[in-house]
Amino acid sequence: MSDNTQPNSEISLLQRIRMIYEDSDAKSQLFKTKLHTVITLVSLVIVVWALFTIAQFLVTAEWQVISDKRRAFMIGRYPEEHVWRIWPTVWMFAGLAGLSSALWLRPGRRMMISLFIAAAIVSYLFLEFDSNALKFGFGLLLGLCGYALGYFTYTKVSLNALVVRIAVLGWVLLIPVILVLLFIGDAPSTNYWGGLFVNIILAAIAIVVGTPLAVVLALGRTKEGYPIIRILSTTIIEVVRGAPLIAWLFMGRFVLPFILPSWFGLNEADVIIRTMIILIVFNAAYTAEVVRGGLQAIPKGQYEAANSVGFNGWQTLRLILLPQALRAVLPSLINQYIGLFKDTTLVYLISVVDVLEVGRKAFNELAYTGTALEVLVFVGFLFWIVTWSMSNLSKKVEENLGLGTR
Amino acid sequence: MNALTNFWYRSAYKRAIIQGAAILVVVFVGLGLAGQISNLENVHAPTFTSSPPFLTFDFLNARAGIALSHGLIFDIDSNDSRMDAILNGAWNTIRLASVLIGFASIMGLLVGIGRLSDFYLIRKACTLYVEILRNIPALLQIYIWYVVIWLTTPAITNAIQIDINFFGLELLQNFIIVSNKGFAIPWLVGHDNLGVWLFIGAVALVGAILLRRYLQKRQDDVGGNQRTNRYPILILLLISLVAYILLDSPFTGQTPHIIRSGAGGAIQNYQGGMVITGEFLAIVVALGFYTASFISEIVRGSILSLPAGQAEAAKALGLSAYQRLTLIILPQALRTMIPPLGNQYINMTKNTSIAVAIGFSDVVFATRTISNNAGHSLEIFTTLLVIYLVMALFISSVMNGLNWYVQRSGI
Repeated sequence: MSDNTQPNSEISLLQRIRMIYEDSDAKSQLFKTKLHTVITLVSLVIVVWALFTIAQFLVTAEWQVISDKRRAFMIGRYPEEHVWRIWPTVWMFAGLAGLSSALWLRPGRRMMISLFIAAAIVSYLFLEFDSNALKFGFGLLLGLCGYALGYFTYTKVSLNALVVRIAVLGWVLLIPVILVLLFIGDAPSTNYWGGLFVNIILAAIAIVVGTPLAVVLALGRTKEGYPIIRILSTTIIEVVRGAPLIAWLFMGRFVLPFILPSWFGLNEADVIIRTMIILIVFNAAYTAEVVRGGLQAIPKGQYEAANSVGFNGWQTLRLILLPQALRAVLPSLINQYIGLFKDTTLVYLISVVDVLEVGRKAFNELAYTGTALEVLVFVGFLFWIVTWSMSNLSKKVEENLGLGTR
Repeated sequence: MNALTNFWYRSAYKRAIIQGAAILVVVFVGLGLAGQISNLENVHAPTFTSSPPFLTFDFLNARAGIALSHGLIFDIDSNDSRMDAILNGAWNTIRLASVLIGFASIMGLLVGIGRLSDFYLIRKACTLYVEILRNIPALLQIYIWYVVIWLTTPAITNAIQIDINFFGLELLQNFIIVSNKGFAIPWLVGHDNLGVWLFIGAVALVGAILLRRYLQKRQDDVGGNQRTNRYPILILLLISLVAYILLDSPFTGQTPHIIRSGAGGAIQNYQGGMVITGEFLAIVVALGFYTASFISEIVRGSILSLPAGQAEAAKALGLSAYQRLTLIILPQALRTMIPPLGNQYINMTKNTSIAVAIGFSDVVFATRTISNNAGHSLEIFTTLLVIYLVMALFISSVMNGLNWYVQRSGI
């Protein structure tokens, strides 16, 4: 048997190919029976046809609009002299991402390669802005430095603890830093915000502010012995979940200015601020249901054990309930966030110019007539990159947490 | 200090204080809202709002002044009331949602099973389908399908007219007409006796179901084959035949055709039959494919949650692959499938509101237009909330009923 599978010079090329084929997946999976063969051949024809169609589209399509409007896709009509407000966030994000991936994810080769491809695509998008290639390169460099820092301190216990603290602090500070940079000094009005930047900001704020709110709502809904709090949380959650996001966005446009209190000029807030409020509440209501699932999955013994060691309510929550609940529902949580990110495309309805709206405006221009499909495919690709990497990230985190295995 | 902490941790006091505080907050917010709303006139220009008293719905009885397109069965024109317009929009949403639920379920089932298939290419293709479609916003997919449909269909001036001929025999002319104004297909037009027919049909159906129950019970008690399906169907057919003889047909078939109007017949449009507009089709295809990718994950998850022994035992009994799936796997998987499926249906019903993006006249479109014309945004928003709530409650009650039935008896 063994000398049969040993390739040697006496075996002809044809035989060798045949042997490789016998050992490969193709034999066991593609041509197992006659039916398998037929279905494989039929679907092969379909696959080839589909690939051909896609290739034809990619080749014949006019991608001029994409490269002309690159800047608009990213940041809309944000004034050029204020773009410096955005770069530090990109750098901070890159550094933190590099550091955290080394600390917590321990990426394999495949993940590194896909990250590299993503970086290459993004750098293509940025490269022809005058001096922005350098700025983007700086971001990449920071990411690499972060990764190296995380990588080399991984085994040094005391240093590692410090680095972990820095990383956590960085993530916590990211959103405040973004907001400070965007509003400090003579910042352009939020009416100038646009492009993918708006989608990311809206989703990030809704996630960061909405999740603690969701935890409060979920706790309120599951709290025993507090019927009024429970009714209140249930009402809020169910009413918000009752209407589609579009209806809430209209509400944010037409009704919210009249019912918001006049503190800090909140009733005259820009449409983006109102959108943020709507998205925060909307996300909180949906996330609360996810968190509630996790809270209800915790066995009663955990509460009792926490009680018996003398933990107070806050300690029980912080040390016993939330770690277990959030870990158990992490996949659904990430799914909820991905859904939210996709839902940020709806904000065009209240005239926020997000990336999809930038695209729509682009292909409605006279110069770019007939490029609708190209633009839509490109925007879809942008979304796909972000959401796909989010879901892969969640898979990786799940693996590292040992979900489903312990 | 000790007395204070004791007081605080005596849980009855603690509960009373916390909940009292919650009530206070609610009252405070409520009063604030009421004050804010009653001050509206002073605060802002009267464009979007109305004069007090608030939350009165009289304005809904006024003339709407808009006509909704994409109507079917119920049609309104601009002289109908605003309430009629909103209800017509809601009817459009319901129509869309019911078509979508059917389409997405079938598609999701197929893809979900395909992802567990034995065939390598099918498995990979289904995985690719899910990974791509799930990660792209639904709105974007609607745009893409809308553009594709718009690009591939001709203008109505050279619409594609499909006839059905049978060996030179011209059976149906203009059976289907395709253009970028939509797909016109033949449809049934009801006669005056439709109401009587529906009543008779309902009575016959209830009678047949009762008969089937009785026969089933007798079969359980007495044994033997009591023809539990044959007799009820026969009864149903018999009643229909008698009704046909007495009342004549309730419908006539009607094929679509193109009419010309305007100066020199410049404007062409469909008449007769049923027109499936490009918007409707784009939304159904896009949202159907999109939701199917989520449903397929539910299907896959519930099939995987079954013990492997079930499939193995079925194999050992010599059941074919199809029998294993339909008799052993799916009926059991259905039990875990139904609750998340209901959630998905509700989500999809709410997602149909995205349809306003390409100008489909659903309930959001109707309410938004009326709100633009008449103000009263708060009242209209409340109406919208109630309409969606009723739909969600309907779906969840149906799914709960189904769940109860499946949990009790299986399929």
